[in-house]
Amino acid sequence: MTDLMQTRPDTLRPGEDALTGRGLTRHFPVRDGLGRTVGTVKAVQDVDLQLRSGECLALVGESGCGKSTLASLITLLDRPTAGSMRLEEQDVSSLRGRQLREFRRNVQIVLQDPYAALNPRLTIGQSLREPLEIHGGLVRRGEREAKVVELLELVGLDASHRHRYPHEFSGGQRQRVCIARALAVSPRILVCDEPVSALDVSVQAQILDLLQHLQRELGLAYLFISHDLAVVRGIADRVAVMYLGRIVEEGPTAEVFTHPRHPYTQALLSSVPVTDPRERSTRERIRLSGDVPSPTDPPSGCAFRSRCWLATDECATTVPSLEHVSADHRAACVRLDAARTSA
Amino acid sequence: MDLHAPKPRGRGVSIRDLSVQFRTPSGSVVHAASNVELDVAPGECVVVLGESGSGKSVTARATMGLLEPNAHIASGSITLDGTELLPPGRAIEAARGRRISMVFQDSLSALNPVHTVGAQIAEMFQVHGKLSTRRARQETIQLMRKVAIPDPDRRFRAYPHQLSGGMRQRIVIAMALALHPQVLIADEPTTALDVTVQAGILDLLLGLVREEGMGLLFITHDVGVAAEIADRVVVMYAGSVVEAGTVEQVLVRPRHPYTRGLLQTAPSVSHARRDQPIAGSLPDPADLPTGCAFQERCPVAVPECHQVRPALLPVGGGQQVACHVEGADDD
Repeated sequence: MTDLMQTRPDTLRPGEDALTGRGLTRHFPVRDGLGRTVGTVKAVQDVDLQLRSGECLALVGESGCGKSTLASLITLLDRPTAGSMRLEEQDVSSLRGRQLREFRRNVQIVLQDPYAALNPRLTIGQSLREPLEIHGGLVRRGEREAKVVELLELVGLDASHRHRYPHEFSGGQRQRVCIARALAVSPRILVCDEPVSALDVSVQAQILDLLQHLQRELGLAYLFISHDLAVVRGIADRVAVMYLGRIVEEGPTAEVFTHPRHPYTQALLSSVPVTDPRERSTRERIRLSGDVPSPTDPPSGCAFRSRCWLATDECATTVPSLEHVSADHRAACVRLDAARTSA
Repeated sequence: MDLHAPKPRGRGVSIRDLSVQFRTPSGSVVHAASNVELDVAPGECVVVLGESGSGKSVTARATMGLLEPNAHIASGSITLDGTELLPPGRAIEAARGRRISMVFQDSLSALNPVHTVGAQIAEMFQVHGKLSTRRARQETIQLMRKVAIPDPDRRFRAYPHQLSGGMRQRIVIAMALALHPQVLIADEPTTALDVTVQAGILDLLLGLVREEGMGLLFITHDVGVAAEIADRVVVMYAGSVVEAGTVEQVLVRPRHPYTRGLLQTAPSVSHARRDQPIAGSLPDPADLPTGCAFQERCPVAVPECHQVRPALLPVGGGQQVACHVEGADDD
């Protein structure tokens, strides 16, 4: 653990912006059988995002809302149609080559499926050495084996596990290996895309505990992408809610969960099953009608208006921007006053 | 008094002492379900709660007569409305789809991609109900309306890939309901769906239980879903029932250490606190320990737990627990 702290370069002061996205937009062309462009999927639309150093920011939303596209923009796995990305003070939007590699050292990823994320032909030790070889300047060759052992112990595995292959491990253990591999190059930021969704409930809790422990020990910032609101409640400091490519609400987790302001957030939270059967008769439930509209042809104005019980004519003409409802809590809805009383 | 109380349909499903084993190619025997006891009464929603390898899906498949060829029913009895369904044969063939039907998690693979969804539902009426094409179409559109598919006349002609996951799951449910079964088995039918869509499907299924007296056996790993819809809850672990009772008994006053651990660590939207997770991992079903399957992860295990498998015994009020430590004392 102490070694990891030393190989970490200049750690940011907590609360400073670590990663900043401005006006991030990603459109995908839709082509017909002849390759002609016949439409555009507006996967991410004009998103501003700040991930502060040392915090866990959760990105939540339902399938197709654009959260994974946004994650690939933030990790520079994909380039935005418009908008820019900064890592601290540096504009990273157009990095290439060595500088891009340095960015990747700082920003690592843990994916949903730990079965697909590990090469089945490599031992765990070989998988963990690979990032150290790619980023060769971090750990000297003679010390790499010791580093692998240290990483395994850091994530609660045994040093002897490095000689084994992925198929010999359970899903939870494999996800621990994936986390260790991401941490091998001492990143400051970990982007976790549905990291516990493929795991059993009892194992989920262990991995979430590990992530929280590592965050405290190493001062990591997490961008935590999940459709599971209950998991997010347990781990995130702040939460951003996405609907059809836009962030519709953002704020401290406890505040958003107890006082959601956007009608979509209210509906989303009221749909999550309660874990105490005594609550099921007392709580209010909002049932949304219809499906999420197609991102190739979203409604004009507010994208949520086609399913919103508060929508007025104004919602069809104005794209609402995120407005402060308290110091750190913002929502994008022109009917915020009505939304407050309806919740 | 409830004037609209549904009249009970049949006597539901009773599973007694069901044990299912699989033979692996390497010759070892996997005990997928051991001495499972389960009842679903008409007009009742029973949730089977368990993680992977708990035996919940195997129990459902055994009931439907849909076990894989390498499965072997070692013991037990399954009755539907008093009729014995074991060994699987003519009895379940005659009942499947008519008196008992099943919905699976993956709606895309449950539907035929080259036929319209309307034709696939209508086929149920044409083959089983011997209805004319026109009548079958009318019945289908009515059924699609019942499962809340908007614009059913147009959707009748849609192919599975043209519908959203939630809509496809409604189509699969419509097919399962076509012949008015007494009991519906739903195996994780909402796991692949978003929460807002899940809420709609749960409402739909519960409506059928409350208004039409259907028996619902709902299989899930999600404590929240159980709390939301269950009348009774059956908790399974490594092939065995470890606790059973009313939803309040099991989820508010759990007795088994596994149920307690599961509830303490189950994430919730209403609070952020999480207790110490259950240590360790699920046991290998091909190599279960002697005694209680939960012993290695159990915080209260005593020597007896390593020697004798605890039986599922009543602890009062209809609640049942299979535990040497927590199941013994008061009632």
